Amino acid sequence: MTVVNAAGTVAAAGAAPYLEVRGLVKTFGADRAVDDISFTVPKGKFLTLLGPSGCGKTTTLMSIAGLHRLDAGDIRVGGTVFTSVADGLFLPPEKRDIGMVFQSYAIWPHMTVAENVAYPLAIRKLDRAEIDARVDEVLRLVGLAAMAGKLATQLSGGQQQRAALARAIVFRPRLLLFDEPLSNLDLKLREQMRVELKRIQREVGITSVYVTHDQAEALVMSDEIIVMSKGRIEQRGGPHDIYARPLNRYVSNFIGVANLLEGRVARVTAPGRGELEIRAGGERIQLPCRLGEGVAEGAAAVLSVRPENVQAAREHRSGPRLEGEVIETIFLGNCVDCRVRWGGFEWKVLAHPRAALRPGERVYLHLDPEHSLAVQP
Amino acid sequence: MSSPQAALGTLAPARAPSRWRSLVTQESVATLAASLVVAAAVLLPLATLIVSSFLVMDRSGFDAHWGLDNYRALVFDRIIPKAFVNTLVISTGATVLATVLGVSLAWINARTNCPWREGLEPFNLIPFFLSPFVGAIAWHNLAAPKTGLLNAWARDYLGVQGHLLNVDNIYGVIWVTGIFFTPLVYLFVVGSLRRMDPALEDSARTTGAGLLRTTLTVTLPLVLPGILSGAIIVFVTSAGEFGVPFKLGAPYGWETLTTQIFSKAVGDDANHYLGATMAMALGAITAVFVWIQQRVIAPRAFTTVTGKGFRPNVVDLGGWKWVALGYNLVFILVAVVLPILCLFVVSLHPVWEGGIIPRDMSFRNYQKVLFFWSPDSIQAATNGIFNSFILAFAGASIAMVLSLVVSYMIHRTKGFGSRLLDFLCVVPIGFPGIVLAMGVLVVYIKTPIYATLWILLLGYITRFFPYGQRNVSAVMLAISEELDQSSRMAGASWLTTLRRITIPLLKPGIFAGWLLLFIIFLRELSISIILYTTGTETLSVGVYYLVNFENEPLTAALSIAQTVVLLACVVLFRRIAGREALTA
Amino acid sequence: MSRPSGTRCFLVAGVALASALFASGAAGQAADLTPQERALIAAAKKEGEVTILNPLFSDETGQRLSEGFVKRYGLGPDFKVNNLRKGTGQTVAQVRQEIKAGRFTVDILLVSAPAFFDEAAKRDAFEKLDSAHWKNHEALARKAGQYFNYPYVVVPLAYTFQPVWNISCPGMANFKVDSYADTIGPALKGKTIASDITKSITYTNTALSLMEAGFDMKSFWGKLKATEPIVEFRTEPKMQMVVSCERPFDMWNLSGRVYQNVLKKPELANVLRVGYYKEGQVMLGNQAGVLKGAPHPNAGRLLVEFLLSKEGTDIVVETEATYSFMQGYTPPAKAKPYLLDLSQHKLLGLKDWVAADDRVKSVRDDWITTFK
Repeated sequence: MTVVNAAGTVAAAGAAPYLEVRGLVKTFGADRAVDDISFTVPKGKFLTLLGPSGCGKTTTLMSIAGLHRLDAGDIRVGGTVFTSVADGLFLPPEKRDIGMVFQSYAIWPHMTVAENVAYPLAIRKLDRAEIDARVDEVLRLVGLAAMAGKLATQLSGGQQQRAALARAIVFRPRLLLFDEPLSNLDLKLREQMRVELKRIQREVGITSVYVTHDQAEALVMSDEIIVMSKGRIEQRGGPHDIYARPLNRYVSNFIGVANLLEGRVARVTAPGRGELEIRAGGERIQLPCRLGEGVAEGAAAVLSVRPENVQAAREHRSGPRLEGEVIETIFLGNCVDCRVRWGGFEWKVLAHPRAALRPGERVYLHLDPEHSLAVQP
Repeated sequence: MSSPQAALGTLAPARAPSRWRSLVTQESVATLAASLVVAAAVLLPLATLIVSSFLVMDRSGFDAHWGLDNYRALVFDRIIPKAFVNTLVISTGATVLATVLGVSLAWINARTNCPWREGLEPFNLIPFFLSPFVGAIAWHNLAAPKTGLLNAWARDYLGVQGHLLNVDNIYGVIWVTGIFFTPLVYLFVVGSLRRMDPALEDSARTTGAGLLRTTLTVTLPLVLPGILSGAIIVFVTSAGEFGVPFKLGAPYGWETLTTQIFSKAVGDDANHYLGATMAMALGAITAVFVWIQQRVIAPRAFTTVTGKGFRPNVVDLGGWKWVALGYNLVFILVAVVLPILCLFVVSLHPVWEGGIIPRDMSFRNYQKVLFFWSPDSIQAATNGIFNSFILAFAGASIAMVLSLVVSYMIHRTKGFGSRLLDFLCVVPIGFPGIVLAMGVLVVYIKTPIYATLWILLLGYITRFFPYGQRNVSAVMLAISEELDQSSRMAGASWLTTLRRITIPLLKPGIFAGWLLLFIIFLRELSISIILYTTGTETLSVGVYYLVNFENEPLTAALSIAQTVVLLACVVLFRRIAGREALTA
Repeated sequence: MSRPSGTRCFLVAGVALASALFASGAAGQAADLTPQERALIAAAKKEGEVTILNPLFSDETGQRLSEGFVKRYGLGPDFKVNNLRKGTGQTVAQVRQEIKAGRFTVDILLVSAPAFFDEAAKRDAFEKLDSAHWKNHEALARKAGQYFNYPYVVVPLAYTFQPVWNISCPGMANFKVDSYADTIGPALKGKTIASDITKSITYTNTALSLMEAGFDMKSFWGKLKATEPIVEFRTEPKMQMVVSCERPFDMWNLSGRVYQNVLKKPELANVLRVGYYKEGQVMLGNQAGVLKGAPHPNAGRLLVEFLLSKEGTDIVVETEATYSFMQGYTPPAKAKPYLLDLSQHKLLGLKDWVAADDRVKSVRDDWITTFK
């Protein structure tokens, strides 16, 4: 099973890296789309490349697939070199045995579902009986057995997605790549498919790399997440780590919602614990918090607190006096999103509906030091 | 049933890639080959023309020396500058006429409640598919001062003295050219109008703008790139048109650049160096305009197309809708029905003197131009039928293969090669057929393909394959690249992907392109007239031959035959390719 | 044919008859073949076809020529005679092009273009002819001031531009032309056609010849312009204008064209009229040469012989109403009404057809100044 080590990376006991990516560089003109990316993925694990558009995640994925050529770097799968710019080696995409699910599904409209799924097997010249058996098996796996004879145009978005997945795994690829496959689906379907995809991947056990800009998706599906920005890796870790212990402001902001305030480490009280002085438009306060990686005494740092870890109350209970005015309340059904102004900063607080906070009220904010993190700016 | 994990099984080890074999892929070899072929076909004739323009012919006609006399002649010759001016006047006039007609018809058809407008549309497009040369012949027989049918009727029934209409002059050239190229503007504009998001106009209406203001301030400006594109294409095509000025202009004193180029190239004052110079001058002008249209105007065609199907706003004309219908009907009558009827009537007479003589009528002329087994058949005409079909069939097929490859190169590969190909594809459009044919003639005269059908084939394909390419590109752009990429990931090589995925999906575009080229080749004149010889006459050359050496009725008979064939193709085209298949 | 005296004559006749019988028995060929013709037959037959480029022969003429040619020499049913017809200038342009490129698609060029033939002959572009029939034409051709250059270039036929008009058109009932003076004047306003001399060497040469004979072409043109003519150069379209009354009078057309139109519609014989000019008829001999390097040289030489023979001449005259310089030639009855009796008319040529080429540009410039 998995072991979470101190660095926060996921490693299966005794697992050697299956996909190795080293020193990837890809430039388009003057723009460095991928700027020295390196990572490895153990066999059977699910890695997500997460980031906004333009961060280089899709380019990285395409390079692994062999659909893009690199300016520098190595890609190795199961010990075999797929790309090595330094050695002048490049294996064309059709020879890599990599399954890929595209954003638009790319189901061929002039063939039926069964023909689409059978295509990779026909290319590999399997005999008819074998093809039929495998197609049947895989369609059953994705839940499309009944749609085998239908044309792609007759399928809904979600069904096309499953068909694309079926096609990608039917030839038992060594690696599975996903390029934002769920972004064209509507919300409910997306949530459903996330779980489905993960289930299938786990059942079949193929090493997978998944690209998305949706952090909720990444959190749900991944064994490990790499957060990318401007062609570089910001942080790598399991979903829980990334969420609870973001490395810097960027990651904090990208994953989930966070209150982010600039400040300075006033003092260190214990290993990984200290006090952060923050200020916002005239107000300043010192708050006890945990110290993230690379945050030292006296250094500039950013306070990162999730809205669910901020309590708002009409009376002050204990700790630093953080007093503010409720600007706005947004009813979300199961909780209320409150905005509280403190100095020049608007705190985001998730309150219980029964607290019945109203705009204009003065409230006190209480932060749990265990869940307040000072991160790199 | 085995479990999924077991099903994963053992994978075959990936073949280690060989050193830089990656450079020499199927894809790169095909791209290079295609680029070379296209570059040779397109650039070689043009380069030769440029070189030829600096060679001045000796008095004997056999030798030539280097010099600038040809360019001097462009300016100081007695006829050439006038021809230049005439060309400009004709192009401008035809453009104005075609634009006015095209825009009004497009608006009526796409945006009003004019009755039967769906049924009228195919008829509006017919002039595009016919030969303007034949149109000129028809109009000569309709409106020549003494022998025109309309004038004869005016004299007989309206008591007019002399003549009412005279089409044997520069105005006649403008008239016929304008009518025949109206569908070009129509197509550009009607597409724009139909695909416009009604929300763009609705939002104007909600702010208080009335119909007229909305049309003038929102609709027309958005459609303007389409109108300009159409206008430029008409201007350029008119400048390069040979048949109409040859029939209605040159004999009556109005020479144009094309008729002069023809004269100098293979006609009576043969000096093909001077012809090359004039061809270059004409080519330079048209190329500039086409470049403007391609690079400056077309990209500005504001994205009013969102892909979502919807119905655009339709204006209720009230009682005026009958006027609109009448206008459209008159256009069809004047542009299509009248000329064809007139040609038919003339073709039935042994000799045409301006009046209908029922007792003279017979089908004998058809026998002479169509029945190649008949002893009194005219070789030039009957040869033409065979040759045109062969050329059209072979030419369209080869051109479409080329178009496919080139489209793929342009849209699916990146880098310098694809940009070069994109540029090379626009070049032939910028040069009139007569210009390109001259270049082809000079380059290939010493090769075995001279005086065979092959040189004609080469001329046709070089000049027109961009039209096929555009049809394919239009469909290819609509097909996501990911459809090809997923085939590659599934293990198919580039060639297999092309064969099993790309081409089947492109079928509608391929077929539309093929049929369009087939029609264009069947009616082609400007290239054929330069490159033909005995045995390799085409349909249009047959008509040309009859114009020169036989009389109007025989000419009319062959013209009708050609028109009937073209119309049949048009019907087929619409049936198979559908309504939106015509891309200009 | 020369006339040897007495016994020799008898002997020659006997030999000729014998050889003719022999020849006709041998291969079903015509009876009066000369040795030169016979020498070419086998090779011509092997070549299988021949192409003659000319501006004159209609399809019908071509067909009849072909039949006659094949029959006379027994060339077999598979032999093809290709009649390629293009305008005067175009024929010269094409051949010039082919000579320069060294690639030939035609075997014989037949067109009135003395300067070109001379230049081409200088460049050794023609095969050497060994003609039996040419000597029958040579004397008259020389007398008529025609250009030829045996053994490279011969003149098998000629035409001349004559006035043609249609008496059924309004105001033309009593029209008659026998002088250039009859072709101009206020009565002819809107009724005339001016031939574009810049487009055709034959018109230009006609003008040059008249000028050499003392005719003031320039002022004539001015007067012609005053009648507001239509400017055209292609003979058939001009004939069509006359037939349809668009322009009822053409001062320079060919009786052969009239003839062809009458064949199409016999009633036209009643309304079309051909005249002549007392100032002089410029005879435009059509030169013929076989191109060196042509694909079918022997068939080419043989066809030239055929055109020079009585049989060939008869065919062409009967279908095209052209003139021949053959000594003692009488045209067939059908064409006779359309042909002038040359002995009754003043015939003009040029002293030096080749040198006249120098004057072409200036006379054309004059014409352009007036008409364009």
